Amino acid sequence: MDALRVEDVSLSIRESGILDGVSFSLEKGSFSAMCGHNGAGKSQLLRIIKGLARPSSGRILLDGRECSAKERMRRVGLVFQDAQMQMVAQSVEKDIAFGPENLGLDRDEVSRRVGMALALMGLEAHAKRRPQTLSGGELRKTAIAGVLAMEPDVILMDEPFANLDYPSTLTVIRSLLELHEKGFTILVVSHEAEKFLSHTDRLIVMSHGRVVVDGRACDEYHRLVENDIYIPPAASFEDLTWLA
Amino acid sequence: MTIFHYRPADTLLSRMNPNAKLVALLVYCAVVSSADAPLELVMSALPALLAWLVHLPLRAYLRQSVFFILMALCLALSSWVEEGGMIEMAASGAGFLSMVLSSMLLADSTMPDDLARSLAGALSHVMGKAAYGVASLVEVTLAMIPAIVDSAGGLYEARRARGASFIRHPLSSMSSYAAGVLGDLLDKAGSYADALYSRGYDNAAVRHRPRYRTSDVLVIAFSLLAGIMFFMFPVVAD
Repeated sequence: MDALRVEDVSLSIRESGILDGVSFSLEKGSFSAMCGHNGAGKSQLLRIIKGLARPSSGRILLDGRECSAKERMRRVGLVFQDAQMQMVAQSVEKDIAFGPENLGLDRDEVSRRVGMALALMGLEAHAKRRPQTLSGGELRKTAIAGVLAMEPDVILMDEPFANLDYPSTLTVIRSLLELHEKGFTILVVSHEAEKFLSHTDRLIVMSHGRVVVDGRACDEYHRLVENDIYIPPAASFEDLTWLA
Repeated sequence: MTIFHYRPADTLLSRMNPNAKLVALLVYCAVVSSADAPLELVMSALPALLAWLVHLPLRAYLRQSVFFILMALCLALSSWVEEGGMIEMAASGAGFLSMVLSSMLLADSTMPDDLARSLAGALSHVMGKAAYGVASLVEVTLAMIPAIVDSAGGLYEARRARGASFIRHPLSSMSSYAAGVLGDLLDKAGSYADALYSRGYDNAAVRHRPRYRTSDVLVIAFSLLAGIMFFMFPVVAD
C-alpha cells in the first residue's frame, strides 16, 4: 500500500509553470530521496503535499484516499529547511508540545507525545534548554521532534543537511536511519545526495518542475550527474553516505 | 546576562506560578508607593533579600542598571527638595529601586511564554478564548525577536562591510537599511507562517499553562490580604 501518492500535480504562478504533471508514490515505511537543482520545484511540491499551497491541478492521496488540505496538514509532517524559523517556544519541550496542543489534545497525551519525540530524537537532556542555545544538529533534531509529536503518517524533510557542519550532518543522518528502522515513511528532499543516498530505497529526481528519474536508488543514482546533481566521481552507490 | 531576561535556574521563585509572582509584584508596588517613608524603607529591603536568596547576579545586572540608578537619584533629590527630610529622600530612591529590582526578579525567574499562558488562563474567565489569542500573539512575537535581531544585525554588518556609511548620508542610508530589514523580515514572516500552519497553529487553541501549587495559592492569598489590610487601615498608610 502506498502511504503517499502524488498524481499529475501541476502548479503555475502568473502563467509561469513551476510544476508540470508531477506523479510519484511512496511505499509505507520507505525511505526515499528527492533530488534536483535549485528552482526545480521541490520545495513548492512539498508545500502542496503538506497542504500549505494549492496545486493548479492534480491530486494527493494518503493511504489510497484523496485527502483535503486540512487533513494533509494533520497527517503529513514537514520539516523546513530553516529549523530556526520553525521554533516557536522558549524551551525545547514546549516547542515540541506546540503541535499536539494545536491538535487540542489533553495534557497527558501532549506529555506522552513530547516524551516519545524527545526519546526518539535523543533530546531528553535538552528538554529545558532554549532553542537559541542549541547547535545546528540539535536544532534540526528539535524541528524533527516537533513534527514527530504530531504523529504524522509521512515525514517530508526539506534540505535537512543545509548549513550543517560534519558532526551535525552525521547526527541528522543517524536520526533519519533510526526513524526509518522504526517504520516511518520518509521523503528527504536534498541536492546533497552524496551525504545520505546509499541509505535510501528510492530516488526521485526533479528538473524544471518535472520528475525525470523515479526508481530504485541503487539502480538510478548514476543519473544524478546528468541532471546537474553532484556526486563524487567514480563513487559507487555504497559510497554515497557520510557515515563511515 | 541581560537584565529583564529569563535566566534558567532551579530556585524557589522560578518554580512559582507566574500569576502568583505577578500578583505579589503588583501588590508590593502598590503598597511601597503608598507607604510612609519608614515603612517604605523597611519594605525596600525585601526584594534585595530575595535577590540574595535566589543568587541574582546583581554585580552583572548593576552595570546595566545605570539608568534606573540615575532615576532613583533624581527621585531622591526631588523628594529632598520638596520635603527636606533625609529619611523621605532615602525612602523615595530606595522604594523606586526596590520596584525595579522586584520586576527584575519576576523577569529573571519567569519564561515569558509561561507568563503569557498563565495570564491567558486567568483572563480567560473574563475574556473567554480571546485571552488565549492574546497569549498566542505574545508567544509568536517573542519567537520572532531573534529573527528580527539577526536580520537587523546581519544587514547592518553586510552594508558596513561594503563601505556603507550611516554618517555621511544618514537619511538615505537609514531608509535603505530599514527597507532592507523590512523586506527580509517579510520573507522570514512568510516562512514562519508556513512553519506555524504546518504544525496546525490555532490562535485560539487552549494552551497548557503552569499549574498552581499550594504555595502559589498561599502567596496570592497573602498578597491580596496584605494589600487589602494596608489600604483598609489608614493608620498604617499615613
